[in-house]
This record gives sequence, structure tokens and C-alpha cells, in this order.
Amino acid sequence: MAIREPFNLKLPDIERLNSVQRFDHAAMNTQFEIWTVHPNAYYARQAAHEAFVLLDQIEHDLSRYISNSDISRINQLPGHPVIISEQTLRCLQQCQHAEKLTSGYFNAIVGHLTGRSRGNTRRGTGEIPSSASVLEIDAEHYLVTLNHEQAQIDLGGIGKGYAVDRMVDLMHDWEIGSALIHGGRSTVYAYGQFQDEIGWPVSISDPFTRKAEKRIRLNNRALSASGLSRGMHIINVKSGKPVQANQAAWAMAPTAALSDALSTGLMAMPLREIGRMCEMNQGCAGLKIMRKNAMSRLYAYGIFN
Amino acid sequence: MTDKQNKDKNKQNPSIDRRDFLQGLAATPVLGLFGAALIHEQSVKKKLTKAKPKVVPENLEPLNIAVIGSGAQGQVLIDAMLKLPGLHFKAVCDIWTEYNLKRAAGILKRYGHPVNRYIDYRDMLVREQDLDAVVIASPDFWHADHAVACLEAGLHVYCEKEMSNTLEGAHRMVMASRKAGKLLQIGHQRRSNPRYLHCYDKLIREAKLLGRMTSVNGQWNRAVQPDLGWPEKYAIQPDILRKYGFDSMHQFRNWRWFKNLGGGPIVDLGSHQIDIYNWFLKARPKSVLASGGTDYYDPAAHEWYDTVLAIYEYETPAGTVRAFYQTLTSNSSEGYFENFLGDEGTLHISESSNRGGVYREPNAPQWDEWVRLGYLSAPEKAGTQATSAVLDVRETIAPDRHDIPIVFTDPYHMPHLENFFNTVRGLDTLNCPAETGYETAVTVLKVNEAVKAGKQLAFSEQDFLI
Repeated sequence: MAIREPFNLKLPDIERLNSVQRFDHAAMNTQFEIWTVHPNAYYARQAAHEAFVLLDQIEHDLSRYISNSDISRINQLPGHPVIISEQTLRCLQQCQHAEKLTSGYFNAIVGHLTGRSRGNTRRGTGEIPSSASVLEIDAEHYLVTLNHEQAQIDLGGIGKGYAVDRMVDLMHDWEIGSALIHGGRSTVYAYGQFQDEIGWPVSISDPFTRKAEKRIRLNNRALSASGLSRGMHIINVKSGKPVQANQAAWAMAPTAALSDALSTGLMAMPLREIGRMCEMNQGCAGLKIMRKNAMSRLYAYGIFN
Repeated sequence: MTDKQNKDKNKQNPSIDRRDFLQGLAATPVLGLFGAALIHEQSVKKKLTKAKPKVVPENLEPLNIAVIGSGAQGQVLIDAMLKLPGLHFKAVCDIWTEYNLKRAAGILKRYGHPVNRYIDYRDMLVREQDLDAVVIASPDFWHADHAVACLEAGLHVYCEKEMSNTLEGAHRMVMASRKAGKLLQIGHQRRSNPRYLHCYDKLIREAKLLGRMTSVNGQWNRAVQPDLGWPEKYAIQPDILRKYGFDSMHQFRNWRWFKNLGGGPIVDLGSHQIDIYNWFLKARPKSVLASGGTDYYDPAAHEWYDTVLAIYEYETPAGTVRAFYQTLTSNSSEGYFENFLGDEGTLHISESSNRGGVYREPNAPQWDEWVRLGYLSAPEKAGTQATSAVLDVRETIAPDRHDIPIVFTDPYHMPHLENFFNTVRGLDTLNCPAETGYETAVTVLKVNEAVKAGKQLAFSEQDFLI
């Protein structure tokens, strides 16, 4: 699915913030960071270390580039039920939820077809089947069957967000009262107080003009960005064609997994459908910047502040 | 022509060395030379690497099992076992009731295994009367007591490595296994990894691709990390900690660094790989020289050495092999791997992400036959195909690299656990029985002694025998 891009999610200038502890870790082909505000910096570091251990475990379950991950095992055995971990099951269930919310514009069943299209980005490959039609999930027994020889599961559009959510859970368990966690800057979740105010400041800028468009205080919610500065890599699942490179999208949601998935879906979603989705789902908001004739135009739906 | 004859023939005719041939006058395109082998190898490789669904034998005997120790490693084993058929979890035992025990029992319940929870293993063994086997993943200093108690209760045991933090403990485990007539598998899981098995059985023993092995080197380098902490609200009561051998919650979480509880990084990390040295060389070392120290971390809280470099000397039927191993805990460069070096080739292998390859030495016998048989892939020759007798002069080409054509598709530890459970069922034999685990413990624990002694220490054959 999409290679998520960090270019446009501006976070506070951490270098000037002495009260913040900052920890980083490479995973999922990017850099994750945890920023905390805690009176005991070493305790915060220990909590962050455990969160990164968890992140590695999640990557090991979800990555299709690791041969013995759950996702690889499912992809390698079409037609056969595979026992999966709890993390993988929850992530796949959230994929299906996101697919419903976006009317199918987010779809984790695109990996194989994306791969095929890389050799010929101009030619459409046709509509990609919904995950519900090819993925059989027996949640009671933790069994998943991929009922399509050609299809592949690729959680690149949701995995980082899912991992951020689980890391947030862990930080709560460790009673870290205030934290910001991001995966490669393209998906961020924050909670708690920062500099005497509720929420952590983040900003959104126009990737074409670099002009700051919005500044948001993020508290108990997530923000994700998608764009195409690295070339055409997001497939419109309805047409099988790559999304055009003249746009960027942001999504806000109660969880990072959902914002991650929505921001990918938004790239191909018609504006009216974005509006409908945000209207019907409390806590979800979408923003899109489209570039035409050297002019940027911003479309925002839902509460985006 | 048999494989041996073919190899002998190649040995007698070194003039057709392929790399030299290509680097000189490349009259035959690479595909021409390797064409048939390549095509055949691709079909073999496809068969070898394609994941196959687990075939569950009809009437697979169900086994009732318990787990002692459900911390990080215990959880890894539970996750792997949940993907194996025919296992019924009955009980979990851990002294960290509010965290490890709660988490493990919760996951098992959600997977359809409502287990009984225990703090004390003796209590568990008294109450659980229908167990077949116990999986032990407690701290090293508890292994002997836990394993012996389970074996004496008539149960088969899978015990995580290191077998014990003392040879006395490891010795007791072997004796208890023999006396009870029950199985004891030690968790050196690479011994059941199909990639390692392929390298040992096919590449080293059968094809003898490395020739005369002269040296081994390996490492496990790990990045700096803080001491393990714990959510403050889940701290274990001091009296419980003391009862089970820990003087504080910090020591409970970081037992690997303490001399009476664990063996330090050389044991935690190095043991996995040094065990492979013994296995692949089919030998026991005759001496070890080591240097190490607590160079980076606070020695007050890190009693064991955080940096260790060791050199073993093995005497094999083919001659002396010197084996180097290092473990660092302040830098993660290159992660972990093992290299086996012989006069005809090099095997580079790691448990990590199917990393590895096989490299032929210049003028060593051709490997075409082994490629044709699918023992290893055709070499990667990107951009080096010659199409005429005129040498195209260009940037330096990389040496031939052959892939190991086995992709590991199971969760880590699963094949080793499966080997254990199938042996319990009478369908297999253990890949790492107690005696093998003991030999590895003798080999590895000696490193710490050598560091302390500051000199080369000798092993005697008696050291390895029970």
C-alpha cells in the first residue's frame, strides 16, 4: 500500500523543549519516536524501551517483508487457514473497519496488485476485491484464510498506526501522564498536557507551497498524513490506477490505526464521500490539499482543530 | 556419476574455475554455463521455499501442558505454541501475578485455554495431575529446581537455555531426566531451524562445500538499552521477591546481569551461537581464551561482563579450528550471525530474517552439481553476463554469492517446540537433548571463568561427560 510520508506533519520544535524526554527507534522502514513529559526521565526511558520492544514484536507479526510473520504466512498459503497472533487479528479487524468507513477506498488487499503496477504505473489493473470478499476471519479461533490466489495482504497503510496505538496503551499502563508517539512523522498520537496546556501542538503545511495551514492541539486522538512526494505509490482501489500526484491528505481519528488508514483512503476518495464519512463518524476529520494550475486549494471536513 | 565422483573430478580439474573464467575470457555466457543448473535449481527452490500448510496427522495425540515462567521469553514460547496443533494448556506459573501471569493467562483464555494460575511451581505440580509436559522459561538460576521437580513428577520438560547458570544445576537436570526416564529438551532452537539443518546436513556434511574448516567467527552485538523497568503499580511485594530469590524488583527484572542468577550477555546471547559452533564442527573445544569486562554499564548494577571476546580452539578430525565470538551490549553493528570458513568456501548464516549466503573460494571445486540439486542457489551475477569473447571492462564485480534455498516460514521456536512435542508423542527424536545442552553449558560457562582467570583455560574430555 502507501509509502507513508513525513513531509507535512510538523511537530513542535523539540530541541527547544527542555522538559521533554525524547526516544527513538528504527522500525517498519522508518523512525518512530516517543516524546514524554515525566518527572523521572529514566523511568520514562524504561517505558519507552518496553514500547519499542512491543513495536518490534508487532512489526514481526505484521510485516509482509518478514518471511515468518503472520501476514507472510497468510500470503504464502492462500486457501489455508492460518493461526495468527492477537495483534494480527486486531489489526486485520481494524482494516476491515476502516474499509467500511471509507466505502472501500482503504483496502489492505492491494499489496500484490501494487507490486504488479509498479512496472506499469499508467495502466489500471481493475478494481481490487474488498478484503471482506477474500479474507475469511474466524476471530473465535484466531484463524485467517486468504481466499484468493493472486491477492496479498499489505498492512503498510495501517501497521504504523496500529503499532502507535499499542504503544500508547503501554505508556498508559506505565502511567506516563503525557506523551506524543509518532511513526515516521506520518502518523502521530498524543495525549496529556504539554507546556501548561492540554494536548500537544502539531501543524499541517501545504506540501506544494510549504505554507502552514493549520495548527492543532492533539489530545487523545491521532493525526496522519499521506502524500505523493516520493512518486505515485497509492493505488485507487476502485480503478486499480495510481492516484495522481497533485494532492495530499490528512485524517484525524480517535485511534492512530484509523487515522493512518483513513489518510490513505482519502487520497483516492472523492470529496463528497470524505464529507459524508466525516459527518457520519464522530471524531473523524479529513483534509485534502489539491494542486491545480499552480494554485493550492484546501478542503476540510469534520472538526479539524 | 555420483556426487563424490563429480566433486573429485572437479578437484582434479581446477583449470575451469568459473570466476577466473568469467574474469578472463568470458566466451560462455553465465546463463550458458549455469543455464541447465539454474533452471533446475529454480524448480527445486520453488518447491523448497514455498510454504506448505501444516499437515496435522490424524489422531494426533493431544498433550496437556503447563508453563513455568511467563515473562518475555515465556510469552514468545506461548505465542509459538498457540500455533501448534494438539496442545491443551492447563496451567501457568509465574511470581509476577499482576503482569506476566495475568497477561499470559488472559491470552491463553482468549485462545480457548482457560488455565489455572500459580505462583509456586510446587503447588502447581501437586494440583495439576493430568499434565504430560512442562515448558520452563523462568530465570536461569531456577531452571535446575524447576526442571528436576517436573521430571521427578513424571513430566517431560522443555527448558529454555541456558540450561542452568551452574554446571552443578545442569548436571542435576541430566541425572533427573535419566532417572525419571523422561525427556528433557534444551531450548537451543536453531538446532531445529530448517535453514540450519539444511546447512549442516547438506552443505557441510554431505556436499562438504566449505572444504577443510579452519575458522569460525560470530557475534551478537546489541544496542545500548536501559535497565529493564516495570510499571510502578505492578511491583511485586518484597516478601514474595525474597521468597523466590530476588533482593529487589530491579534485580527481578534484570536478573541476567547478576552473578548468582544469570550468566551475563555471553550466556544470554552467545550461548545460542556457540552451541552452533559445537554442532557444525561436530566437536568439543579443547581450550578457550577470553577477554571481557563491565566496560560500559554501572558495575554496581551489572555484575556480569557487558563486553566479551572469546577464542575457542577445537581439534577436529580434519585439523585445528579456531573460533572467535564476541558479544557487545553497547553497539548493535551487524547484529548477530555466524560465519564458518573453510579452504573451499564460507557459510554466513543468521537466525535473523533469513540472512545468509554461501561463498566459494577461488579455485575451489565447482558447485554446479549442488546448484543443480537445489542445495544452494545459482550465484547472483547481476550485470556481469558476458555475451561475447570480448571482455567488457567495468566496475569491480562482487564475488559469487549463493543463497541458502530454504526460507524459514514458521514462528521462531516453533520447530524446536514441535520437535519436543512430537518426541513426547513418540514421533521424533530430540534435537537438543539434555546431554547436548549440558555440553553447550560447559562450553559457554567456561568463558566467564576464562575472563576472570585472565588466561587460556583448557577443557578436558571429562568436563563434557556425565
